[in-house]
Amino acid sequence: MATIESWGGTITDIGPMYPMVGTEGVLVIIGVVAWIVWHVIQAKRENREYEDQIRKYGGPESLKRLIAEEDPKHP
Amino acid sequence: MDNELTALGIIFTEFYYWLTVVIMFFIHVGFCMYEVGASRHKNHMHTLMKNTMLIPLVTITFFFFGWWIYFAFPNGPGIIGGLVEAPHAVAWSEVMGAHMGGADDLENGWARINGVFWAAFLLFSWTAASIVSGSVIERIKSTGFWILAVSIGSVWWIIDASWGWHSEGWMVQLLGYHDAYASGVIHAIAGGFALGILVVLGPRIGKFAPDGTPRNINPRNPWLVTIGLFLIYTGFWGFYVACNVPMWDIQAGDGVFYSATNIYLAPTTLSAITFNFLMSLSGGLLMGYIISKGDAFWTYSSGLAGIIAASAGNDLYHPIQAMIIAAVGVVFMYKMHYFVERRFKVDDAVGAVAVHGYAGFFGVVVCGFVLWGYPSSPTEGYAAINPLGQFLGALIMFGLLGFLPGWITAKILNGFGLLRIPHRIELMGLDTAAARDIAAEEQAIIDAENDAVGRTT
Repeated sequence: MATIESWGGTITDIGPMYPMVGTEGVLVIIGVVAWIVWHVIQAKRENREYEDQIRKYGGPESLKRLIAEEDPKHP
Repeated sequence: MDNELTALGIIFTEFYYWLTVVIMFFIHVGFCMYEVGASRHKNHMHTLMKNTMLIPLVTITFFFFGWWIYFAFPNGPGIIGGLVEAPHAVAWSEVMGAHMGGADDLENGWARINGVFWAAFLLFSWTAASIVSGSVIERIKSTGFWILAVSIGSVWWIIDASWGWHSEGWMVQLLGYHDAYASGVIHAIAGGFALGILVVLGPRIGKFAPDGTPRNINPRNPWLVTIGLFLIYTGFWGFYVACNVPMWDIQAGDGVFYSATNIYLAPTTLSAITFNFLMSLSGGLLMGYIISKGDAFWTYSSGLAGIIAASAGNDLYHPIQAMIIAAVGVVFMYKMHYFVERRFKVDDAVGAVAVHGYAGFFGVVVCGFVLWGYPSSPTEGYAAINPLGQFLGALIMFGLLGFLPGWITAKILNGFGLLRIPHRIELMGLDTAAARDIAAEEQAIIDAENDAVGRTT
């Protein structure tokens, strides 16, 4: 399993040092899929959060109150 | 690595680029502070997270494909040749990981510096995406922005680097394109990309009066903004140093002479760029203070814009030339910012299109006149630096690889409803709902504690 089992040989013969040399292609596929899945999950969650927030605080009165709080003259 | 001199050269180069990466991190601390300081209270956390998360997204995609693009695309492909093989830069290469450099020649050449060289370019990628981030605050969806960030950070800027910031790039060969410290390669393209997005995204609510007059939405925390810009200056030192090759034999023919070079492998020195960095910073600050009547936001931004305006030729300019170019560049970008804002109703929240886009464009064009006739490369047969080549180069950076992809990608995202946040969310603020929920939860805890006191007594 270990790519390096001893540092005692000729150092100039050592190439890659990470475990499981030869699986780089599979690792890249896993990485790319993880990246795309992350975007999909995030996009769905962001839209859902906006819908929730609008439902809770997006009414005209609520918005007016929130905007009033931004006013520098607001106590 | 089998003798001390070779080892010293390789380990010095490895350490040199590693150090530039550490220094360049300050750019991103600065960008985060700057953007948060420029946003309104109701949007602070969202603004911070929007910028922060571009870091991992651009990093992993630059690993997957960005690094390969740089080495594969110098011919276009299709302009002066095909794709160039780049086995050390594909994501599945053994030298894209811990490697001692044994085995074949390819690995011996790249094993020790691949990671640090990749990271130096990667920090430029973050910068390109961060420049865009500031201009679109307070109304862009994170989903849309992060797709745009990957697009500019891991695709478009690295294509332009391959074309015009590579010792064998077709723009260098055919146009004599010269952009030593990335006026066009990073700044003009990122500014153009941001402008393309802004045209589709539209202004923040209230930015323009009903008659079209622009209103200033001033930074809510001027301290954070200005110290953020100071940190960007600090990180910019690393950026400049990372644009050099630290040790290269520049002697043509017989003999050996080691020097630092620019990215085109043409000689320069760290002293040259130190003079010019500081003099162009000073020219920008001095002019920014005058033209903005002492406004802190614009004075600090002008320091940055001054450096950017002189960066294309800062390997060769005289320091006073750098200072003057910086000052004139600041006038250009400042006037352009307000002209575009008034005329086209573009809401560039932090002036990023101006500071990076217009100043970068200006810097590339001016370099063509001031360095007219200089060789663009030590390689024989390349076009010399010239005004037309630089002007075309500036158009390619700002327009073809910047504005156009930004505009098209933003249009597509907008079509899918992934670009702009809902109107009512923009009104209430991106952080407001979360803050209300937290306050309600805290109130519930206080109520529970009060009840507990009642029961105790």
